[in-house]
Amino acid sequence: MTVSLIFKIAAVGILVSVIGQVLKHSGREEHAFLTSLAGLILVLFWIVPYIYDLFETIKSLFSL
Amino acid sequence: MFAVAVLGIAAMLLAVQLREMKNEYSLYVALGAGIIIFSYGVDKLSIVLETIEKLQGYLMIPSAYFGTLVKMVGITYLSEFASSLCRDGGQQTIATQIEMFGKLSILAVSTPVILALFETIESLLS
Repeated sequence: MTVSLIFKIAAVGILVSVIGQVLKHSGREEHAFLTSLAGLILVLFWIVPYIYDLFETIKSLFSL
Repeated sequence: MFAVAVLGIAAMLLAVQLREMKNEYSLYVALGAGIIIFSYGVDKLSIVLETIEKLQGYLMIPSAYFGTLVKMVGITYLSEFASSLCRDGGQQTIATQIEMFGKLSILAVSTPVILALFETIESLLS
């Protein structure tokens, strides 16, 4: 739950877009799509447990 | 407070930067920043809730109303968080649907309080 989560997500975003551009210009469209998909899954893998914790705390805090 | 402000500005700058390159990542940065800022707020929120609970001991309010109040605050916060995120992502209809459901569930939670109010009014009048 540190600030590094945001910077990790931003880093993955920048990396994926750069790799995507390179792959697109070198003619490999499907690879670019696969890298962006991989980046998406990686970020989701990081962020889903935090979302789950958020909803658990809300449920317990507000006794919903 | 200082950490939350700096964190919010940093996340906003990153999200703007990412919006040109990859649109969806600005959403993830916004989601991550929202979760982290909420985690800062949780301990302050629990302090407030405990003091309200202690206060409630002095006043003669039945605890059911206090539970309803806290539930309403939770529902409002959750529906606000989700609907503003959907609006960030450009999905206006989903955001309005979430808000409508939030309002309905608050109404549903508050019906016993309204009933109790009318009963007390009726007992006063009769």
